[in-house]
Amino acid sequence: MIVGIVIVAVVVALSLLAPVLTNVNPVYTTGPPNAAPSSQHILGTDLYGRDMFSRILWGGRFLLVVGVLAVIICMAVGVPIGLAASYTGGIVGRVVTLIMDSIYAFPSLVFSLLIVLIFGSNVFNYALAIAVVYIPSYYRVVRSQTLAIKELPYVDAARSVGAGYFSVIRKYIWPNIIPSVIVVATINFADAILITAGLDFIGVGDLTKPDWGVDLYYGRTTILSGAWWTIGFSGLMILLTALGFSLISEGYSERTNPKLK
Amino acid sequence: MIQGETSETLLQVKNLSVEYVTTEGAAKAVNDVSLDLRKGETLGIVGESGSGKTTLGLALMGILPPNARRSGGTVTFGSSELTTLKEDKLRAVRGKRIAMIFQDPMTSLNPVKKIGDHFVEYFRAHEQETSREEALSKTTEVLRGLGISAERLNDYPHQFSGGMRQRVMIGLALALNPELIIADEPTTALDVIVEAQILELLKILKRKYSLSLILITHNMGIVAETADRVAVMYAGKIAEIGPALEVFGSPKHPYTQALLQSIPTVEGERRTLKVIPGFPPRLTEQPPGCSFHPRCPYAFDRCKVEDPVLIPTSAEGKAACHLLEKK
Amino acid sequence: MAFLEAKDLTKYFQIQQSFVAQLVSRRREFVRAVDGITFSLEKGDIYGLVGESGSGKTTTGRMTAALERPTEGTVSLGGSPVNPRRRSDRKKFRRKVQYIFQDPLSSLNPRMTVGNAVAEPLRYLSAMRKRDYSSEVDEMLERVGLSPAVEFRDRYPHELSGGQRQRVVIARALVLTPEYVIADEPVAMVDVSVRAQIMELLIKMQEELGLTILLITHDLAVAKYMCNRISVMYLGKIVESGTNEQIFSNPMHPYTQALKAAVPIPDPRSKSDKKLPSGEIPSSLNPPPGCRFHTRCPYVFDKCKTDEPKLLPTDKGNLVACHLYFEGRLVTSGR
Repeated sequence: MIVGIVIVAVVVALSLLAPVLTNVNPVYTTGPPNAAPSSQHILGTDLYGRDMFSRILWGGRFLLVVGVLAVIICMAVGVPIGLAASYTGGIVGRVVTLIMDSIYAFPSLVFSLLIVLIFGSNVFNYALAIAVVYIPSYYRVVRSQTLAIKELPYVDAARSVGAGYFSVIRKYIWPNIIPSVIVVATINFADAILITAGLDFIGVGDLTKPDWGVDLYYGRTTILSGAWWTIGFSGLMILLTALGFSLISEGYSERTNPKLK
Repeated sequence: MIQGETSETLLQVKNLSVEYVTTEGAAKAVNDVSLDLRKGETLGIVGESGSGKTTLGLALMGILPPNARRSGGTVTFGSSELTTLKEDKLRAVRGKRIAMIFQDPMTSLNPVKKIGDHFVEYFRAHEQETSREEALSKTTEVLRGLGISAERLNDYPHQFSGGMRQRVMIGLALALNPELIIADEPTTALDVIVEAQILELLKILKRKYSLSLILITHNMGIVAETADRVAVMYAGKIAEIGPALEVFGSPKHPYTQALLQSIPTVEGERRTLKVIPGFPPRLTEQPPGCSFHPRCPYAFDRCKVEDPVLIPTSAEGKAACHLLEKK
Repeated sequence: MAFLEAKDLTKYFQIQQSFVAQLVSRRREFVRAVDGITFSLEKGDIYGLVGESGSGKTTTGRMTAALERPTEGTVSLGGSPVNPRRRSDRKKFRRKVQYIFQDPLSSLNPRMTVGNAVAEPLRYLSAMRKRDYSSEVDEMLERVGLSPAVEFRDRYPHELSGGQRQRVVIARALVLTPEYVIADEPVAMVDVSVRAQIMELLIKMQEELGLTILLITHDLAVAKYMCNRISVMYLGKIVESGTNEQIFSNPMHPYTQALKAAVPIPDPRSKSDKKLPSGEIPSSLNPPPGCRFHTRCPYVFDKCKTDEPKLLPTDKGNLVACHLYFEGRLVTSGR
């Protein structure tokens, strides 16, 4: 888990400090196209002569912001619905689960693609597209945990000392499912990065912004002529970021599982 | 116990220590424990949570969990030194010479395997030449002695009641005619009447097959009724050991005394129970000196710093308490 | 009028069948957890409900605490039925009746401190002001022996020992001074050397607060120590009922006798020749016809297999449900 945190921290730091670390503009041509890494352009240039180093530093921002927004939307929607529907149980629970399962069954990339194509490619829409598709995952996790906890004596005990519906959810169920939600959120983040980069890679969205996925889009052609640096570094960054979050997720879930005596 | 049986020593444990590796460092679950088991006798090991009794049982069989390790001592069974045996030799001992019965039969039995198949597999694992028919007929015989009819060989574990499952476990333990059975809380999960049935059964089987039995439990009543000798454990050490009549009749260790006075019984007058203050220490929070001193009504200065050793209190009994040395 | 009265109390649980099974078979399967029992508690009793698994004792206790709704029959507390309809009545009820659950570890919210857990009843059921909570909580913690209270207030359940946790559970149940407490196996999950502490605590609290306690346990020895009146249950029915003295010096029902004989005694000299009933407890899905114990009873005769014995009073005042005693047959009581 620590490794994951370190990786993510580095990526976030790089993205935040981009303006400080480089004054080279990532969007304009600043050098010869497809130039190999050199002292002037440490990581080379892409087919439009844009500095790769600068693009690497600036390229994470969009992805990270989308990730953050997506996770926020998902949690804000998925978790309360999950808690309420699962705790209430009965017909309500079954119906909501049915709806969620249907959304879950939808191929996520296609769905996100549709939303971005139809509604536009700004940060918010990306986040929305990913969120809609991911909410069922939160719902499922919240539901399974809530159902388990609901049966535990301490929930019964809470009711017998007079705790009402909302108090039980707020104080007895929610605090005990936070770890699982964190696990899902971190995976969500990793997935968001991959989907966003993926969408850019297929050419959807605003191709003028500095973005690792966009780099891959442009780099498709140049790789054939041997200019590996155009997709190598960007691809690596995507991989690292997604990996970082996945490691956090796994590491955290291991830690919150019952420890050995 | 069969009188006139040679009282040769079957199992000898010397200075056995077992540690668990925890996030807070190594914690001693079994601390320098020595005891003997004679052929044909029932030794009761009684203790509460944190006493180390279960860990001791696992250590004897060599099946400690991965985060535990033996940090000292020897276990001699017959003429073999179990602690030095390699895993494959140990496996030959396990089951064939020493068998173990656990508390919860449900987790020890394979839910997708028929009961009959459990036995067959067991037989064939230890004696490869056994044919299926032979194994099954042996199984039927064992089960009959346990009160389980042969038709149930084709049933699955969940189709058996708790008591029946435990009988199956006992059957499996006996199947290869071991010399020693170690039973860890064999009746804790069972209802009172079934518990009594199982204990009776164990007594009968022990006589019939000339077994030696180590019975590990927290229930003083069970130990009193089934054991010939008793070892009382507290916080990883033996507090007192001796013949059951002695340990229950005239307990020497303050813990044993206090425990016996604090347990309610169904017989006799309704008396006031003596309350023992405090609680058994956790593995990682052992008090210095004698582990029982924070709760002991007789504790004095020496108890807080020095850990008492077992000293003989009678021909066959020993206890670990500084009070006894004063004599 | 008795403090608590249960009449023909019954609870059947419908077992979950698969969707297909429900369509195909018309018959519904029920677990007959509690089958028409009648008993009453007097104020100040520590009343024991003793039985093994499947006896229905826990379900009965839960019904008297309004944690389960009876399928049939009534339970009333001081004349008014348990399970009031109006919200305000329910609140009043919860102030009067509290339940101590069996496992102290799982009946405490792992994410709530001891102080907060004990304050919960105050929060929901009392008119106390928030700032007064802590003094009330501290007083209660001291009372149950968790001293100094300030040290225990901020601890979490997993930081405490089993006995300490049980004290917290008791503190939580008693902080509003209820009238009626159901204690479900209060010492079963507590270390042996700590059980006496907890039993003494409950007895002390009963005296100090004037409680009436329904003690549910499978452990006859605990019942003998703590209860003044006891009912023995088997497969959803009460088979014998009486004072502590009556039940233990002179158990009349064959099941009670068997139960008492089966309990191991910490005395190696007692060579009790145990005449144990054969077999095990039948399933509550399909209890035996007639007397439910007849399949295992050493004294069974024909009538037992067809007629269910009623719980009837003897000339000594206790109640027993067994054909042996009301037939003019064996009237030898006890062994």
